[in-house]
Amino acid sequence: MSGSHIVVDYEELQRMSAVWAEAAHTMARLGLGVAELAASHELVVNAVFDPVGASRAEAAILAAAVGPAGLVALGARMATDSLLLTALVEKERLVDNFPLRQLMDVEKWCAMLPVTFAIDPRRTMVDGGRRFAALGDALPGYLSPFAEPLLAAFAPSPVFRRDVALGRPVSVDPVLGLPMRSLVASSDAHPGGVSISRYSPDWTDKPPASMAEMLDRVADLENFDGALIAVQRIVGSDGVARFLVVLPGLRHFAPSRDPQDLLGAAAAEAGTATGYTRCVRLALDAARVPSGAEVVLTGHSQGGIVAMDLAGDPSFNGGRVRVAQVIAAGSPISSKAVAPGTPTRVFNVESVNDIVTHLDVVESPTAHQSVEKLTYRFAIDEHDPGRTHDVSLYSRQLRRLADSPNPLLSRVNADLQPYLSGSVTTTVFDVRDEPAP
Amino acid sequence: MSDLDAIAQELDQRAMQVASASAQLVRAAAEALWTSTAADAFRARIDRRDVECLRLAAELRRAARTVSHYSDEVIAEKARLRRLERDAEHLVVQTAGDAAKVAHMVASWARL
Repeated sequence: MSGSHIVVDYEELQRMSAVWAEAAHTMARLGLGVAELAASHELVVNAVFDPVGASRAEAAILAAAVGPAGLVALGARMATDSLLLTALVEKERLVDNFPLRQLMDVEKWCAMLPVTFAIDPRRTMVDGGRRFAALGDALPGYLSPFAEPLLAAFAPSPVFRRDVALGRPVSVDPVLGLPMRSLVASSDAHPGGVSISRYSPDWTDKPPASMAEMLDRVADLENFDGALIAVQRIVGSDGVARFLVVLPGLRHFAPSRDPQDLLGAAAAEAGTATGYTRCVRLALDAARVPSGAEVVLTGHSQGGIVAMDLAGDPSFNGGRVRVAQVIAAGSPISSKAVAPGTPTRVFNVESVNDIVTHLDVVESPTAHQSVEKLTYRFAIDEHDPGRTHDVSLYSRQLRRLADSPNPLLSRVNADLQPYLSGSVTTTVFDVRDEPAP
Repeated sequence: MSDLDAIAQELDQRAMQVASASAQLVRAAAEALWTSTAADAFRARIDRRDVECLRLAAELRRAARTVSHYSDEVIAEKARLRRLERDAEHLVVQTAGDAAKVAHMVASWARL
C-alpha cells in the first residue's frame, strides 16, 4: 500500500506464477506415479486372496492420486493459479502497458495534418516531432520485457541469434555479427588515470544507512559535472576497516576523455579489463586501501558491470582485495560471474522495463535464487528510457523493500551491517582514460 | 518383504515427497516475494495449498497402511491355504495307506 493506492508489482505475480507452475508440475508428476501403483500387477493378482482388501487398497491409492481432492487435482488447481497469474501479467504487459496515449497523439496529429500544416507548417512539424519522440521514448520500456525472445527471433546476425537462443554471453553485435571485443578494443587499451576530486559530497563522513542510500551516493556522483568514483573507508565497532567503492554509470554516449562513456560501457560488457577497472584499482591504491581488505562494490549501469568485472577478476578479487558484496542496479550482468572460489555475493536489481538491463540478452533468474547471486526484478515503466534507467528510480524501489519479508534479502542486509555504521572517511576521485600529465 | 509391502513402502515415500514438495513450495514462495503487500496477498493461498499438501501426504500414508493391511491379509490367507493344502495332502497319503492296509487284510482273509 502506498498512500491511498495499492502498488502492484507484476513481477511479483510473475514470480508467484512460476512458483505455482513448478509446484503444479511436481504434484501432477507425483499423482501420476501414485496412480501407476494402483494399477500394479501385485495388487490385482493378489485380489483373489482378499478381494475386499484389494478394492480398499485400490480405492485408497486412487483417491490420493486422482480423486477430487487428490494430487492430480491439487496440481491442476495450482496450474490454474499459475495460468491466471500469467494471463494477468501478460495482459498488463501487452495491453495495459501499451503506449496508447502516445500512439493516439501521433494518430491525431496525422489525421489533422492536412489542416494544421496549411495553417502553420513549422509548428505542425515541431508538434509532430514531439509526438513521435514521445512514442519513440515509450516503446523501449514497452518492448523491454520481451527483449530476449525478440532478439533471439529477429536480430540480423545468426551468430548473435544462436548465442541468445542458447542463453550464453553474446560474442558478436546483433546487426553485423562482428566480434564485440574488436569493436571495443580501443576502450580496453586505456591505462586509466585518477586524481583526488574537488567535489566533497555531504555524505563524506557518514556511513550509508541502507543499500538504497548506497545507490543515492551513486546518483549523487552521477549528477556531478565530471566523471567520478568514490572510496569510503568505514571503521566499525570491531576496529576493522572496510571499504565501500561507489561506481557511477555511463555519462556520455559520445566518446570522451573518461571511461564513463558508451565505448567504455560496451568494453566493460564485452570484456573484464577496461579503462574503468584500471581507474578503480588506481583509486584503491591512492586511497591506501590495504592489500586483502574487504570491500563492497556498488554501481549503477556501467558501474555495476565494472563492479562485476572486478569481482570476476582473480587478480583483483582474492588478490588486491576481497570483494564481499557487489550491489548492481540497472546493469546487464546476468552473464557475468565472480572469480571462482571467492565468497563474493552479488545483489542485482533490475527493472524489466529498463532496456539497459537486457543488453546482455540473458534473462535473469526469477526462481531458484541464492544469496550468492540474488536478482530482484521489478516492473516500473516511466515511458522514457532515461527515466526508467535512472539510478534514483532504483534507490526508490529499494526503499520500498525496507520491510521486505524476503529471507534472502534479509541475509544480504545482515551481511552488510558492518558497512552501515562506524567512522567514515571518503575520497572522491576524478577518473580519466589517460593518466594525468 | 512381499511385493505388496514394497508398494506400501513406495506410498510412504511418495507421502514424504509430497510433504517435502509442500515445504519447497512455502520456501520458494517466500523467496519469490519481495514486497510485504504481495506477501500479504499471497499468504492465505500459500497456507491453504500447504495444508492441502500435508492432508494429501497424510492420505498417502493412510493408503500405505491400507496396502500394508491388505498385504498382511494376503499373507495370512496364503498361509491358511497352504495349511489346508498340507492337510489335504496328509489326508490323501493317510487314506492311501489305510486303503493299502485294508487291501492287504482282504488278501490275507482270501488266502484263509
